[in-house]
Amino acid sequence: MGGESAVKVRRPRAPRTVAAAVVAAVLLVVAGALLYDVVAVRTGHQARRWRAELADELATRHLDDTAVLLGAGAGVLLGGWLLWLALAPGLRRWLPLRPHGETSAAIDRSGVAALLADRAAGLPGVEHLRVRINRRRVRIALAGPADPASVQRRLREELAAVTLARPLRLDVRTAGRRRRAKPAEDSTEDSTEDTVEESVKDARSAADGGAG
Amino acid sequence: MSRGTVNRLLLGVVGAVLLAAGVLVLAGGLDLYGRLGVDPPSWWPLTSPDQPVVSADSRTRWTGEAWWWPVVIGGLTVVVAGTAWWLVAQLRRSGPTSVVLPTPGAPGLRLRLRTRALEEAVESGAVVLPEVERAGVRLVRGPRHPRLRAAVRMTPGGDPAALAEHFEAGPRTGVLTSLGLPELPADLRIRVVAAQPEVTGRRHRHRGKRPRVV
Repeated sequence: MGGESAVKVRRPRAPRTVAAAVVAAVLLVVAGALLYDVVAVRTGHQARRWRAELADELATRHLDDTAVLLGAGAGVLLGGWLLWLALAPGLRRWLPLRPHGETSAAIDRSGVAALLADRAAGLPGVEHLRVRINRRRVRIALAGPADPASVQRRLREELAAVTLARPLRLDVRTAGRRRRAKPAEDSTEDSTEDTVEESVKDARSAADGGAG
Repeated sequence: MSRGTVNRLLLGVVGAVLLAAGVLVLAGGLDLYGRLGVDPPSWWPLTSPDQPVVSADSRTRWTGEAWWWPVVIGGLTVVVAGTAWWLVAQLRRSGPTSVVLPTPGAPGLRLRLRTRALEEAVESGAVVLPEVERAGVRLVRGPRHPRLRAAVRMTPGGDPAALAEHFEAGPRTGVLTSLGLPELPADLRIRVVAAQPEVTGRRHRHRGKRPRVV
């Protein structure tokens, strides 16, 4: 299709509200407890048990102690994750569209899958289909006598009509009619991929309205 | 600076400190310096696997100095106040409470419009657009001008490009020209209502009155 080159748009960036709230709350509790205890000791009270024990553990455990190494490993992982949250744009569910004036629109990834599934379900010879979509490509598995190449052509038109800023690759292939082959596999696919499954018994009534 | 930028900056600082401390302890504990034949400078901390994490000596190194406790208490106070502010900033509704409208030809007049009124105007304009089932709009702070953030749910089989075009030409331009604002850029997030397909994945969560505007 014409005009399928990628357009540079500003990718939306997640505000990281939840992560910030959690980190802020943890830091607040830790620093608050420490401040309370330091002031208490300065004003002539005893240090709390937890602080004395913590100071004692830190002074007696050596660097090659298993607990110390495990703690350091956890710190590395957590720190790397927080750095990733700080740098990565996030909002992976949203695919930006080409800009329309001052409006920068984005569409839900599973919404694109639903549009394609609705369109494909109305095509002749498609009995059952499964659409899987991630940020780069759409993979559609068909069951039925339909010709994958012609289905792909029709769906490519539909996909081009969405006017994504960065067009997705589209793969259509026929699959055997193993509808419930691996339901567990789907549920483990987390936010990196969305799946829409449709059988034509459900969809035909909706498609009749458009075709008739 | 927007809230997102502050959040990312502070998350990055906390992450970098955790990462650096963890790497230092791991490097010392696994004796990476000895194995790799690196000779760290003499002031480098935590170089030997046999040394404690924080020895009693290093903990009490400055406790005798007059400046130590005021500095510790002051620093902790700053951290407590800063994190409290950071936390509250996440819970508060972000965005301005009102926008100043230009009043050409009436120099002494200062006109303000409640944000909620503006949001409702755009919302009611968006919800009557073709192929829109529900719409939610919020006004957020932008780099220079406030920004509209709209979330709409499109009917199945709709045309997202046409929807973005209608939103641009309809509610956004309408509010922009009727209020005489210099600029009002918009982010539009489109969700597609599922026809009635069997859906696996993360699409069941979006119920409720209005689409959530993130």
